Amino acid sequence: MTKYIIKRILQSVFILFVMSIIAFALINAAPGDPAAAIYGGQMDKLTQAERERINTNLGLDRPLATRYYNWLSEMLGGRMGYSYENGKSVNQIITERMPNTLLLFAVSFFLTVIISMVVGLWAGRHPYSALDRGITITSIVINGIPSVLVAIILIFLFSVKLGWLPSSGTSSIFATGAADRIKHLVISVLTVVLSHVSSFSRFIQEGLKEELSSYYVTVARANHVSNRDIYMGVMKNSLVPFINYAGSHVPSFFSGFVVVETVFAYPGLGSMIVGAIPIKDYPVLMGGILITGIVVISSMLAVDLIDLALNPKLRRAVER
Amino acid sequence: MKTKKLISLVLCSATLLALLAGCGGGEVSKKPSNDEDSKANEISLDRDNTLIYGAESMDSQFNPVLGSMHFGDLLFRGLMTTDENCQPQCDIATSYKISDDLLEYTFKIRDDVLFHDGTKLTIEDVIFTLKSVIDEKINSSQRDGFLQIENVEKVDDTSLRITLNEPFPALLDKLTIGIIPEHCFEGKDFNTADFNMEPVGCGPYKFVSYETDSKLVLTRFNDFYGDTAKIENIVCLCLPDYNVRALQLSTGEIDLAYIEPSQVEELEANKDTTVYKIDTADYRCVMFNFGATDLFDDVKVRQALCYATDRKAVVDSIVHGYGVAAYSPLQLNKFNNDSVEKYDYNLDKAKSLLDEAGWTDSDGDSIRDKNGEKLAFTLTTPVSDEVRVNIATYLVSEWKKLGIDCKVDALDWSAIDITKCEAFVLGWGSPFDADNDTYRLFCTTGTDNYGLYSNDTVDETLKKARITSDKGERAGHYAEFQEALAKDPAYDFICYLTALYCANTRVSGIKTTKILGHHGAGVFWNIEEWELN
Repeated sequence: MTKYIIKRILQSVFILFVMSIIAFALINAAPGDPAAAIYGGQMDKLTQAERERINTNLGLDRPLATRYYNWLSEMLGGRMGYSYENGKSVNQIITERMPNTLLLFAVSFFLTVIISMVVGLWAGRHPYSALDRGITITSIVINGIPSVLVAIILIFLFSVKLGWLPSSGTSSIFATGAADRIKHLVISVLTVVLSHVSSFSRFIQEGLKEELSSYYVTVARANHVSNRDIYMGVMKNSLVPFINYAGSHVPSFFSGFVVVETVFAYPGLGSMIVGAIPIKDYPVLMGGILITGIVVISSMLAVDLIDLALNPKLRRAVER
Repeated sequence: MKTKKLISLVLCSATLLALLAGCGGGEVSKKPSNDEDSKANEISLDRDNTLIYGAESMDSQFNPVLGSMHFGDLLFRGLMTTDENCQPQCDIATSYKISDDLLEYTFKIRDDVLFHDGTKLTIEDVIFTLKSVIDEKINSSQRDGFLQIENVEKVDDTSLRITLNEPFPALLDKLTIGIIPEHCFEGKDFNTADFNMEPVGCGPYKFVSYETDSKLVLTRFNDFYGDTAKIENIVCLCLPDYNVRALQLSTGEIDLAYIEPSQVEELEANKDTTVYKIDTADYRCVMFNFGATDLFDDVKVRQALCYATDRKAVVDSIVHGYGVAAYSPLQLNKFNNDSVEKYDYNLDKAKSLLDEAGWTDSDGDSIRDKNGEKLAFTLTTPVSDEVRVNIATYLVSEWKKLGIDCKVDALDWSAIDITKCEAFVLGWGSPFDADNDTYRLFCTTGTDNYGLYSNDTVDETLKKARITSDKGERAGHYAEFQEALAKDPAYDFICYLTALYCANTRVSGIKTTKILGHHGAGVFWNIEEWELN
């Protein structure tokens, strides 16, 4: 068992390493210029000579492999470098922004799972009801609407028209405290939850229906096993694939944050990465991609371990 | 029974989440406070004593040597400042002497200037600031304005000498750059020092806190050497969407913001807001790049393009009337020569000029050609600037009437290399010394002469205007320069923009008499007179 876990961890480290190389190469191939960030609104004044001077100062005239090696050796020592835009330490930037994204992730993931479980289980138990059909249709419709549009519609409705909720940021100037922070979270969380809850609940709903039509359920019913006991068993069985499904969708949550955080001006990892791309801010980008990669790969590892814990068949296969 | 369990589970989780949301991550970067000034750092922040400014974008750092920022003149002050007429006046400097050959400037400074951390501003700080701007290793976007500085040295404890490598009348304007304290950078790499995010200046307001890309808080510095400001706190919020800014202005959530021309009517009608229309020296033009194509070598082609530009239409429809037709880079300057050719809209004249130049439509495809070459080029514009994109689109349709095949290329700034664009929608203009944005643009050896424009009279007159301090002589040289430039256009000047600021009526003291810079920069020039009622 421990051998398996160690093997998985080593695999994850290797994946992260390969991912960092690909990311570094992709950033290099993309257009963009750190001098653009430093000059900001005064871009008309940026001469070629200045552009080259700044690029030389930042070490961008050195070959790709050298730059990657420098980044890697610094990173392994825990130093993620300094932003090209303002010289701020990337460690500090990530420490400031990661809690915001993690909070957004925790709240929206949790709510998505809970809501989809409640809704999906109910719908599964009452097949072909209005709710059941309603969920199927809504899920197809909402999956077709890009989350950027959902976010903008929600901001327009709740912020601009109704004025109930703030349209950006994490906290207000004068009011502080838990209530204010929750108000700032609502629209972002709502957007992310709406993007995923329908497909999650549909998964449970379908899974439940499939389980209910299986042979052992028919036998149990025939043997007068109580409805409650049947449902307890069926739910356990259908929740295992659901955990897999939810876990494998963690990466899509994070990629969704890039959109939601930018639209909502929410200072998290997503908006940090988006802001760093056009200016080719290597240290910030690599730091952000690495952190996101670590979170995603760890979550997939966690899912696999939970699977092992819940599924005795898998445990046996691994131990062999 | 199951429903009860489910409901209780949901309620538990909700409480947990609420607790989680309550204690959030620390994104606020506060000034490190020691025991002495921890009391000083406690500010009382409430709606009545705070001016809230809605900015289009947040500054990414707060070091005036590295780059300009919204509140540069609130946090920092320099040797010089500019007055209501955009003339340089002494600020931290008490007096200055210029040598006869115009290459040596000697400044005396005040001895009562304190930084926000309580330390005294010394001559070493001034020298450190100026040496840092010209340092090659420092990633400053201001450096190219100081390239004429050869050396900066201390004369005594209250004076310094700046030596130039060539005469530079605009130096006094450049010396408005904020002075930074040398002791904050001891042992640190300038580019990555903490100071850049937690600035210490000597201006009327000091830094309190900054929440990344969200809000910046400043409070009044009571030991400011000049007039103490009346408004206690200033907060800058990041509101990139102009609709949100207009909305928050009308609800009173923010007190001041830069607005778009299309929003003026609505905000003027609102009795709680006032719209301020302020002239700026910021103009838009099309740059002809002689290095990227030889189509513009014939002056008649350029003149035709200038005649085919309906500046009034641009002002009326693209900037909704908030602008002035442009014909010269010095229109708002005291050395303006308004008797030059203004290229008033005349399509027929444009067409006959092109005919004269030999460009005719010989193959009937409605595009002019000459010796097998078509009169076609690409007009590049930055995609993020709506006004420039609209100007480009408009010009293309106008020039099509002349039989010119012009295509618009709207690119992101980071993908643009102006020296390689055949034509580019450029923005320039300085409200300060006439030399500021003329020598470096129009002189053959000018550092920002992207289009490689070259005209002997222009070179001669601009050089002469530099090396004399006699106002009458300079006026004459600049008049000649503008005439030569109008006859041999380097740019197709389009329009000067008017800055549009909207403020809540409770803010008093905003004056519209001073000409502002690029995108309305410098609106806080008389912040000491502003009050909240």
